[in-house]
Amino acid sequence: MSRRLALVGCVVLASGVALGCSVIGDPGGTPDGLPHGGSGVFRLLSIEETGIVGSLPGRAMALRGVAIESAMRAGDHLFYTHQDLVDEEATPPDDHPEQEVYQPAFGPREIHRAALRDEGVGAFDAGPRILAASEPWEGAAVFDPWAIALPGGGALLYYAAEGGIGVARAPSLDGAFTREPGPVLGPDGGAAPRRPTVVVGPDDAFWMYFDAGDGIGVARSEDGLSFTRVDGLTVEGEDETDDSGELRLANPGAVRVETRAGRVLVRLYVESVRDDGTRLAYLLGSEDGLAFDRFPRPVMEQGDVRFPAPYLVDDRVTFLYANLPFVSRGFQTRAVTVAVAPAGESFAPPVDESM
Amino acid sequence: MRALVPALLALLALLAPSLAGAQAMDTYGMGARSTALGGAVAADVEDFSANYYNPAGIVRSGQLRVGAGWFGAHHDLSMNDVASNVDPVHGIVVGLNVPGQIDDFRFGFGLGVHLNDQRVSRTRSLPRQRPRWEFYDNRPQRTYLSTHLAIQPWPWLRIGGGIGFLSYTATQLTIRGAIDITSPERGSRLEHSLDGELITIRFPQAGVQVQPTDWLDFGVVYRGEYALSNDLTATVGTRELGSPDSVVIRAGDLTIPGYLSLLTASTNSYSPHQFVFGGSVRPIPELRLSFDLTWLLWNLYQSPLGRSNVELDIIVPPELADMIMVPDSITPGEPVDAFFQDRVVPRFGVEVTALREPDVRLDVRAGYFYENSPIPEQRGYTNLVDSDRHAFNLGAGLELFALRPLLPGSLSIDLYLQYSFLPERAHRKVLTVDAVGDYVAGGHIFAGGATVEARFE
Repeated sequence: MSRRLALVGCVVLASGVALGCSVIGDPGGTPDGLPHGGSGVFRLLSIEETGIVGSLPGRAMALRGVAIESAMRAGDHLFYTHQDLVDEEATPPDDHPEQEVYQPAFGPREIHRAALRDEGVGAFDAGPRILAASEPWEGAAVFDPWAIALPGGGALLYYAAEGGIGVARAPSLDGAFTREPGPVLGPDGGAAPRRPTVVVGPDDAFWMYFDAGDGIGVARSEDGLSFTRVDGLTVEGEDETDDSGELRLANPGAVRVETRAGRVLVRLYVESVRDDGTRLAYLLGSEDGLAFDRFPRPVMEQGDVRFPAPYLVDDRVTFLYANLPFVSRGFQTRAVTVAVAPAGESFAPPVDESM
Repeated sequence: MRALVPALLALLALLAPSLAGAQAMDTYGMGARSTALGGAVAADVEDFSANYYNPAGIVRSGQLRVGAGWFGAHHDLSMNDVASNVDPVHGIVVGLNVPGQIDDFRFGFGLGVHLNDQRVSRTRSLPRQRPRWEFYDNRPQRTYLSTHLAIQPWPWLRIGGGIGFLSYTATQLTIRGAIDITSPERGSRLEHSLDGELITIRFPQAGVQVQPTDWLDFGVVYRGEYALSNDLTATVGTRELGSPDSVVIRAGDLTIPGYLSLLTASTNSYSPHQFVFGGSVRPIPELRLSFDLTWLLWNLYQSPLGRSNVELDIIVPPELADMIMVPDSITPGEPVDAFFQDRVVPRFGVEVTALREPDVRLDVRAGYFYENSPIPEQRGYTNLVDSDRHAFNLGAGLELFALRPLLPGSLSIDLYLQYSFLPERAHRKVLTVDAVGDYVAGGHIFAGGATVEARFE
């Protein structure tokens, strides 16, 4: 009798477990957490995300009466070309191009360094000057900064000036920069190089990409100080949305990417200068630093994007700092903005539901 | 030979519709005993899981067998170390083997069911480039229901087979009426109709068991190919102005006729031709060793990335020509080849009788199988994610005898646990500007279950 009871108990227990488990359902997961290259398309961060209130979405630094041309982020610092408004009475002529800074109203370009804000994401407080033109080859201005932290310690700051590209050295990104003899890259029979952007390439050498006036130029260095021009940069890939002629690629911003699959890539964000006056931001990618693929669509929807400068947040998220038109005190100027890819990534603070 | 004629007639009779679909079974197995043995049971399976592993086994024991149980699997899969949130799969398994005999001719009828407790079936079309775990995210979300017939013309030979049914969806959405963009809530009037159909498809399954001695068995199984389509047609308005089915957009005094046609057709789930060759040996009564080799013809896979076509026709008045841009054409989506390769799956099983008494028997089991991924490295546009799989299984079964008059036979209670390891696999894109980029994918799957089966003398 006890055996039968035990048997019945086993059956009831097993059946109960089976039926009980069978009603443990859940509504199912959502397909988030998917991999993304973080290469684009970018979305301007919102005011809530940057924390810079009373301004345009995506603005990465609030400055009045200042023109900010190129900017780039290295570590927790933003290096940018700064111009103070010096002549509020200056009036641009009628034929002055729209969305261009009216230079006579502003002082000479110099390089400043800003520190990351305590609040918000990706935005900076204005910072002090760290470099102004002082060498004969530099002429009246220094601009287009690009700073890198060296793997073994120290930092290098590349910049453009009248006579080419120079470099300054500091013990760290937030240290005092001291010029190296320059320029490290001068004119090569044509226009002086502009907008240097330097990465440690797949071969662990320093690769400098720059605006050569008629396209993107390349130079290579073993030590980051002595560069030799390299020929052979190619770009392949169709532009799916091309509805106006591309005149040239300009003002590159580079980043070294180490993918989770163990590859080292160079990504280059560039301006596509069009014959209708627009400047669209495009992405190029390369495994060897010379042969580039082209992403077939602009990576920002804005039509006048300049000096795109990528910053890797992690292996999935990228910030793209870029220069967009902005009007300050009635003057056409430029503002540095920050955008994010993947566009669905959100940094907005959570809503306090108790309010 | 006399016995073969009615047997073949009976098998042909099974060509009439039945209902089946093998999805979760392909991935996680069926029944606690067979799964614990790594699925290496084609040669000698005889419990209700024969309805999946080898329908010839339905007739093997000559006993009425009724089984039920529960099964569940949890996926801990990730891409770039971020959880992919692949849904779990769990549900009820039920099976039935019914014997019959005419003179010396023995036959049997079988029924096998796996019923998910979350959803009976799921159809999902994802954006073409979105990474998805091709074998675990959507495919197991199916109900398995099969019927089979088996015969034993001679004591050493058993033959079984059946035909399964699955369904796919074909949906048509039609919208007509007017949209007032200046006062959408008051001025808009839209009607829609939805016409959905579940269309069935059939596929065969057949198997043979050969038992030359009482300690040696061989089995061969064939499972047929099937592909489930997912067709969606959406029509907004009509090209004929003034038709009752037209759609117009109103903006004040302006009326803009519009027409949109959307067609998507994709393969929602595919299972290839499968051939299983198995052997089982019992060198001593307390030990059973088995080995199966399954060949799956994945090279015939039809890609889940199907075709799509969009037609958009909006006649914009000249007054709004500068404000509303209508594209001249929208590029249709074309099917993308998946380039899968065949898969050969070795399976091993060991069963040891740890306790044998007149009224009770305890078996412990272990099994292993290895599935190489048929999906090539995703270097291009597609992101069909998969990895090799090592599955380790442990289980135990308790069979109680001498249960009369409560049960004129025996009762088995079987349990199993399964751990699957999917080593990380890297996918490197040819295009260095690919939006998804390089990634690695891997993880773990934890599964388990229990079944209770009654055997009637």
